[in-house]
Amino acid sequence: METLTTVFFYLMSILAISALFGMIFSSLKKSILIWAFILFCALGGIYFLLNMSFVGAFQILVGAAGTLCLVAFLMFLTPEKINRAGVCFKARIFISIFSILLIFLSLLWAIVDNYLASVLDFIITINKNGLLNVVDTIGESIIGNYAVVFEVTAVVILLVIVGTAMVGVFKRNEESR
Amino acid sequence: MSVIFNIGLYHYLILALILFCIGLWGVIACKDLIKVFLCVNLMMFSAALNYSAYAVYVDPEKINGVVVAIFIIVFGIINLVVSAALLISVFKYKKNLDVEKITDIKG
Amino acid sequence: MLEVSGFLINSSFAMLLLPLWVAVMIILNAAVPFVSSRKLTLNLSLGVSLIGIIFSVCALYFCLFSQNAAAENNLLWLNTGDLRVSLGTLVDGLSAVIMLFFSVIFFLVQVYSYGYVKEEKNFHRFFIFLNLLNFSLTGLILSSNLVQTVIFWELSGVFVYFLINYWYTKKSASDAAKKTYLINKIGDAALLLGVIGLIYFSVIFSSAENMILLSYSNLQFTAETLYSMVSGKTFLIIAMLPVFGAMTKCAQFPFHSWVVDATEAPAPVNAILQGVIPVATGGLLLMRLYPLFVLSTEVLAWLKIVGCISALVFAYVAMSQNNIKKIFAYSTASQLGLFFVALGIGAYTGAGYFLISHGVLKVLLVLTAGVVVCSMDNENDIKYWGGLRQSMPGVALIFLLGSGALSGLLFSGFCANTLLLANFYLQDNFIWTVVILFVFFMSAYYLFRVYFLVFEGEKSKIELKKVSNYMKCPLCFLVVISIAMAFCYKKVFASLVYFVSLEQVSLSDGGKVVMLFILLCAVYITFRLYMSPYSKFMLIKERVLNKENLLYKLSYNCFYIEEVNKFLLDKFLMKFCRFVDFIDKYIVNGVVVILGLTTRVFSYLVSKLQNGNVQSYLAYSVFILAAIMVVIVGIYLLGSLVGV
Repeated sequence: METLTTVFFYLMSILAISALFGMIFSSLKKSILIWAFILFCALGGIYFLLNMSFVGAFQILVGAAGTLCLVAFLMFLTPEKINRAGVCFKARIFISIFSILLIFLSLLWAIVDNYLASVLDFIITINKNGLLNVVDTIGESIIGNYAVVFEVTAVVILLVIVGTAMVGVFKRNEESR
Repeated sequence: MSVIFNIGLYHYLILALILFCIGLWGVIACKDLIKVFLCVNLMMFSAALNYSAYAVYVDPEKINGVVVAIFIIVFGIINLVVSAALLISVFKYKKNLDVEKITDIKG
Repeated sequence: MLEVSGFLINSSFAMLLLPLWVAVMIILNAAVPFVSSRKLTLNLSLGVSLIGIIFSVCALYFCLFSQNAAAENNLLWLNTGDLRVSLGTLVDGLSAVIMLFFSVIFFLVQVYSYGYVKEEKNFHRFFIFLNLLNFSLTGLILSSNLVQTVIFWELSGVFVYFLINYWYTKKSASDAAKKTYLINKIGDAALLLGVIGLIYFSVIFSSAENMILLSYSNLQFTAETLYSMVSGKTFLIIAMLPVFGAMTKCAQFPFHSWVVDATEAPAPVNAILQGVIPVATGGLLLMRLYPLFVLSTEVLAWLKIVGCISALVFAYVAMSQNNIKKIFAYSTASQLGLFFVALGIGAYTGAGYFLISHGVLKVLLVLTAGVVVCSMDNENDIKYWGGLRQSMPGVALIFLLGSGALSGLLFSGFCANTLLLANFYLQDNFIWTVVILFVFFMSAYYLFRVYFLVFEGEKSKIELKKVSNYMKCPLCFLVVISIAMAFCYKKVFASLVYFVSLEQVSLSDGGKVVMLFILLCAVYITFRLYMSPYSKFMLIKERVLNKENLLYKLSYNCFYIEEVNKFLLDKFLMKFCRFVDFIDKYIVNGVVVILGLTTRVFSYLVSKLQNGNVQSYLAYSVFILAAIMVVIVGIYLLGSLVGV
């Protein structure tokens, strides 16, 4: 079982990272969609690995499928003739690579240092028994502790629907440009 | 070797970190605005992954982090919806979605 | 009556602000192009002067018959720790007398001005500045302390500048205005320094808590405290500085040239400059600060020296001038020199009476000259005039009476001159008596020379213009005032303007006869020189009044003072100015330019960062985030290395 977990984790993470690179560097519309789909599905697979099938399914349904539908619509609504080719190489790219490497290294150092110090040693393994009724727990805490956030989210979604419709429908005055 | 093969909290954290950093680089480097927003989404999802990993390993009874992850996913979608609308109106105005060519906020 | 005047005096702040309000009303009146009426402007200005006359008559009545001879209103204006500056009005004998003089003269001058600038394009501007000058001089006369005096002193300088600059398109007028302002600035600076010194020492040594800073009613006490506390030299410097301020305003010896050049101004302005300004600013300041000067014999000696030089030099210079306005300007400087000498010798009341009498008569003469110049189509040179008595007998009579009074034969001039002579003679100052008699002699000579050359003799060929009655009426009133002043010396003036420790003297009849004899001699000599072809006198005239004669040249060119000044300025000051100019142009300016260039280059570089690309901004912020993280991690690692 442990081996299977290990293999599955590495498979999913390699898949996610390579799909991410593919998405960034690909130039065709189709391939962007496919790589993004693979990326979000791999993330969903990792949720499954974490024994949270509900969140994994949510991720695949909403995150992957919903996002991809939106992006597909967006691509069809913005028909560009130019090549969507990936990345420009300017000074800012090197600055950003350098700084992101620094951020990455310092955060990695923080994680590894924590690991070596074994502050969280006692929770290194999953308590699989506690996760059996995970959907119930999620539902209860959404209705209970996070009720306000839930309602606010609902209102925000409503506002987003209205606002998006307005932004889309709004006709710009040609002379005012 | 057991460190590499015994999958634990830290592996998930490092995976989320790697995804986050590459997503950040994608936001800065991509020329296409659609890709930029996908990368932003990915950054949010990696944060959600971080939350749920902590929730599973540290707080298995209440799993508050998982709830936060769900909200993050929802807000990621909302983000994408709004940005899609904005991108469409930008496209109406500019006739393309190249970041290099959209420099109207120059002072 | 006493209650009414007391009420008026208590509302003296309103009196102070009324001219300012009228000036604003005239501005509003002038701003409307078609509705604006010149009569309305005149009536407003005359109204405010009339209120001033009523106020000052009440003040005079109050000071004569009230038990407390002074009324003071004060407002605390500035309160910073030890320094308390108040603004206020002080109505005592001196300010009541000068206020009466000022408001009456100002009323008449405004009537005259209406006739003078009736046809001018900038009519309203003239009256605006007249009212602003009225405001500042009222504030100066009624000011209750020295700080307020300085404020209104500067204000009056500004408005005098604008009035002289009335014909600003004329080069000579604008130059004269600039010169007046700059020369008066020297005196202003000296006065300001003196006042600052007085404030400094009075704040240090003042023991009383609620005393008004440098108030005139307490000035004697302040001066005595100062005299006992500071060393002699410090006291001398502090007391000497205000004298310089008064010297510039009274056109004394080194600073006289502004009053000569300012003759380019309109005649009423000229009259104000020569008659009113010296009385209301310089003369008033000297009389107010007299308790300070009395304590130091050096200051009194300085007053005497300056006055003596001015009186002799300018009387001598006035004898040979041909420009009628310049004659009166030099005459002003000379007569005010006599005022300085009188103050220096200790004749406080006599000096005050002489000052005011001179003011009235000088205004009369300058205005009369203005009438004549106007009718002669702005011809100033008296050589081209002559025989005007047939065409304008009234003006000729007024001029004769005025010059007779100013030289000391008639009316208030006679009283003033006898007073001065009495003070000099009875205090055993034989040399001074001779000097002053000599000055009287020369004044009589140059005044009657003008009269004989202008109004008698052969008739000139210039055609005469008509002059409006607005310009002629004030002259009669001025003669009446001069006559009236002669009668009210003992009963009114001497009981209002006096200095406690100095006794008042009067001249015996013999002295009066001697003085009259000398003056009549001068008139006779003038008459002989210019009117009758009598052989001996003609011989003298040919020998002395010759363009080649050194004495005549010195007199005609005013002892070459202007030339010497110009030479010194060119030689030393201009070189220094060029040096300063060099420093300013290349060193100071260079530093500024380099600073500006650096900023520009740097901003050019930085503005490249603001290229409008969203991702660049994100890259910068990510860079900064990385820097912050590196710093945090570095601090943590250092801490763990050190072992904290």
